[in-house]
Amino acid sequence: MQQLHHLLEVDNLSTSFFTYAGEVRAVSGVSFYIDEGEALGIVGESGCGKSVTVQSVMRLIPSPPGKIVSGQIRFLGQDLVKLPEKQMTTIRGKSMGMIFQDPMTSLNPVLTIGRQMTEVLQRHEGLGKQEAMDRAEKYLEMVGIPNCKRRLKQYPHEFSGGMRQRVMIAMALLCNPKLLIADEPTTALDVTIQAQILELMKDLKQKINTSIILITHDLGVVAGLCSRIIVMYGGKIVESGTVQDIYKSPQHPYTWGLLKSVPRLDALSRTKLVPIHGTPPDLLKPPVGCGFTARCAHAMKICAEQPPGITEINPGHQVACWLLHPDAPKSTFDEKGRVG
Amino acid sequence: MKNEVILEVENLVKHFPLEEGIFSRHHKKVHAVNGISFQLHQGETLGLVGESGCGKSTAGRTIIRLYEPTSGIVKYQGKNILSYNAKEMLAVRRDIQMIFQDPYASLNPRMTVGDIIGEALDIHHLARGQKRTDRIYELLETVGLNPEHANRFPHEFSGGQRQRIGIARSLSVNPKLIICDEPISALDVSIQAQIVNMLEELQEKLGLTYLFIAHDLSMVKHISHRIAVMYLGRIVELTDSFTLYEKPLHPYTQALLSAIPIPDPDIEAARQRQVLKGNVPSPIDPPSGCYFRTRCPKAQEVCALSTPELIEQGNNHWVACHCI
Repeated sequence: MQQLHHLLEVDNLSTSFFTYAGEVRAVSGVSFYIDEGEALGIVGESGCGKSVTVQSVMRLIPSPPGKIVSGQIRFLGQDLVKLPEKQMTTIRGKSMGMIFQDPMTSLNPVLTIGRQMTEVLQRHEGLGKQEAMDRAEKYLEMVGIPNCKRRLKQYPHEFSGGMRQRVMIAMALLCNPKLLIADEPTTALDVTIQAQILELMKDLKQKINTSIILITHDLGVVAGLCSRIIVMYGGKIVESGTVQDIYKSPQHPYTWGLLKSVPRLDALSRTKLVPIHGTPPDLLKPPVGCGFTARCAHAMKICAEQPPGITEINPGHQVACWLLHPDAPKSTFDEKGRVG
Repeated sequence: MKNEVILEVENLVKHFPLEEGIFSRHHKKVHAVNGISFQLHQGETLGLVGESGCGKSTAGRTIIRLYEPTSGIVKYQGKNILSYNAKEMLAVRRDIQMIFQDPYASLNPRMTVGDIIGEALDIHHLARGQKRTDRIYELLETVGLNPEHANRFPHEFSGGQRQRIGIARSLSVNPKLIICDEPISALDVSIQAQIVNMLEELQEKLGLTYLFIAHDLSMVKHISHRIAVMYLGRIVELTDSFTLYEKPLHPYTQALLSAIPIPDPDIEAARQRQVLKGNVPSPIDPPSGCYFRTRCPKAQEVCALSTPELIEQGNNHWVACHCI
């Protein structure tokens, strides 16, 4: 039954960059879905392929050198991988909106905010100039920008970082997209401003029922907003499940590592952090087996030889790890973050 | 754990003049640091937190005189180092070292790692020839790198490794105090923990004192014994790290703590977030009285009239607020 209602379904997506040094497999064999009105978090460190994944979905991979090597991206009944660029432009901005990490560089500095916002509406919705201005004003008000009328005539440099990110959100929502992709929307902002933006996104999600994909490296940011989480490492999904699955009973050693390596504000005593030793794999020469083998405290011989299959712990909670193979020795993650 | 005071900062002020007009007359100035005072004890870590633009990095750089302060006193081991000449300052800089935020920009790309670390040894005439090489190898091992790395160039290393090189460089002169200016904010989460653990181990082994400047309050709380919260160039609250989390008194500290997301869906769902309205005012033209009053939910008339002093509210808990 669920199958019919997925808004976006990514199936076995692989994206590579063909550089002089060779093929960089930024994303290899990633599958996930998102339903209508749902918020999905994609978590991972820099270089794990999370941004490339959503850029592939938006077909924003610079080509050359980038290329979607294989896989399907089904959105509203169409396979976006095969869609010609011309049709893609009618989807981008209209049914799919995107918020980028850096609000300083993703707005055009020589056009007014009003001009940049109405451009989208005139193009996709065929609105006249005045109508478009009115709609833009309404959306600026919705994201909490005071004096919208005057603000529309201003240039990006007249806005602060948090305000620019609000403008970006308003702009992404202008055509009431089915899917909003937010690529590290708060990373460049201060914590108090980050809190403002996160509250705003939470509010908007309830108000307009848009699906949201939130990409971040901060496990705290997704905990409050998302219902499901995907953990990526080395271009692959290592674990996916509901927030409860990921935070309360994580199964992959990398997820353990992520949770234990950040200090918690509510920690009662000064416990030592448990870092993940080593560095992420070089995707020019991706490891044969599991990508995490070299940094994993529980690695076995087989981990370096064969990529692990996917084990489903309970419906929706999937983990790619050899430790969950029936023959593997048992490791667990307890409340205090110790590995037993 | 009360040790002797190693560094004492009194009423430190740093204003940057803004040049305007063809005659370069100074009309306005950026009030980066507006009279901060604190003491740093031997062997402790003092965290300096605040949002971008609050003057925390400027404070760190002014203390070591990378910027000349506008006014104030910085006493290192009881002596005011602001009156020192260049030669006397060199000796102080052997004791006070700095680790910078950007591991990409703070290492000279044309120098090998060995020379980057060895440069400090040369300047302070600490070791030559074979002794110098041995010391460089030893330092590389201390920070978890291989001695073979000495002949490589910075671009061959990842961000975390470069930060290790920066730490090895600062350790080369056997400093007593290290000013860490956002040493981990450019690194990935799993690498941050490696560097923080290493800093903690080094502190234990070498008895170092840290002034740890960062914007990530959860990391600062983890590494620091005491924390000073800064807002627009002033310290608004200063206390030990657990009291700061358990019993924050200043409205800004309370808002800052409530803004930090906690990686636990249940806690996040139950939390009442106190969201601050608006932005930090411009340090060129700060508001009168208490700088925080424009965003403060508890602001009263008195807040606009006079500047609140940093007052002790019992047990070394210092707060600058009229409303307590």
